[in-house]
Amino acid sequence: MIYFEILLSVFLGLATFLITFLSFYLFIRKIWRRAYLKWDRMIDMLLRKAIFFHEGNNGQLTSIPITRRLKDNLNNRRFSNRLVKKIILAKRNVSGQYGDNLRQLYIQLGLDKKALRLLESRKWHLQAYAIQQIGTMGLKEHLARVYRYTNCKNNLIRMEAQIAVLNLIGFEGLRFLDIISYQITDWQQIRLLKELSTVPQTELTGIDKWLSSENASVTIFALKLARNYRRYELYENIVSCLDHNNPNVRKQAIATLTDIYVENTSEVLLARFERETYQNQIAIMNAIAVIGDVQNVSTLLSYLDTEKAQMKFAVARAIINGNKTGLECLVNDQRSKTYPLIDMIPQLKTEIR
Amino acid sequence: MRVLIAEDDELMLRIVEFRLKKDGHEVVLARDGNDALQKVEDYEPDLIISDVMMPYRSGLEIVAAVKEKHQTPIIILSGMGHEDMVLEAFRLGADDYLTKPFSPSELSVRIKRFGVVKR
Repeated sequence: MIYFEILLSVFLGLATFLITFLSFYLFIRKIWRRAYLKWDRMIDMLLRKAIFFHEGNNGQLTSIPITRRLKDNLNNRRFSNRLVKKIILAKRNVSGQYGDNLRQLYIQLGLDKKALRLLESRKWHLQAYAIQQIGTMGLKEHLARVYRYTNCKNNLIRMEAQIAVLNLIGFEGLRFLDIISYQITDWQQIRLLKELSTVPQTELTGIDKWLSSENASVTIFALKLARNYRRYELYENIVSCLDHNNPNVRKQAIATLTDIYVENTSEVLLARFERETYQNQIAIMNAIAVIGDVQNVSTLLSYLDTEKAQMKFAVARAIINGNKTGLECLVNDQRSKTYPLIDMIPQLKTEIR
Repeated sequence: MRVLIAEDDELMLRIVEFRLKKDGHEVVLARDGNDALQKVEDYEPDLIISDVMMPYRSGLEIVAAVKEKHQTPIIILSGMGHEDMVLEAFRLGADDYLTKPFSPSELSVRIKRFGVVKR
């Protein structure tokens, strides 16, 4: 009986504690939510005012008017963080004078100085955040401080620094490719290419040097640059990448040659077919399907004997799409009457370009 | 002109709204894809400005759905400026494509280009 009473007391005590704790937690959360809502409204209004500052101002005001309440709130770390996040987001979305106004606001509020202090922090995530801010806000005067992080051993700091230099000086920022010793991940390459698509295009030099870089990821990225910006004058350099010892570089070179090719490119690719890895052989067939011609048909027909269905399909597709008489050649071949080609051909017919 | 803005980012929505109201347009706001399609039926806007990445339905789905029934011009306003995405938008029937970061003044000029009958 005594045990039961003790257990009941413990249970009731715990339940009371939990209910009190949860009520307190929900109450505090509600208060914060209200504060955040109020802050968001205040920040949105300020950003709207800042973005369109030059339109309503006939040169009378040199600085964006800021309310005292907002200035007071700036001392609050949470408010300040929220403001920085929103300014950065807005700056990424608007350009021209509208973007410059946001930059002015950022400097006017002294947020650039805070970012520079974060850059000196020992915590990597704060350093990365500071670099991101400097890049997005276009604080070119701090380029040298950001540039030295483009080959930083910390992956995230390095990634942010590489993006930031592109934001700051555009294509010229790609000079970090001359010196980096770390690999550029696929994800980072996508981010860099996306960032480059938003900066004004200028004469891009140095791709030839990067194509022969000792860092394989730099070579792959250079191949992507050559492809995206249609650098036909680099054709020979791209072909020489087909002999690179890294299969991923060779695969990217094959993909690039699908867009930058000359009359005999398909023959150049087929000449390397036998010594390539399986994945690269598939890549070659995909390339031939785009750039192939009638002269490749006899060679391609000899590859149809493969046991692998994926390869058989890729070869058949290359034969059909590579030239106008491809379908006829394939249908006339005895192997096309047997499985699996007999099933593949109807589908391939629908893909004829 | 009555313009529907479909955008899930509140700040962007307000920036575009502010610009369009300043230009004298009547503005209808939608914060996700479903909301946008509903408001196309309810308000019959003269022009639609839509983001691509939105909850429930993407901007491209909106273009396809709207162009099936209406001739309303659509401007895509997106951070995704990749060639494939732009071509896909035009293939589905988008009338213009503006990539972020964008200039609100440029958006104004592009809207004027459509010269839709004013209400």
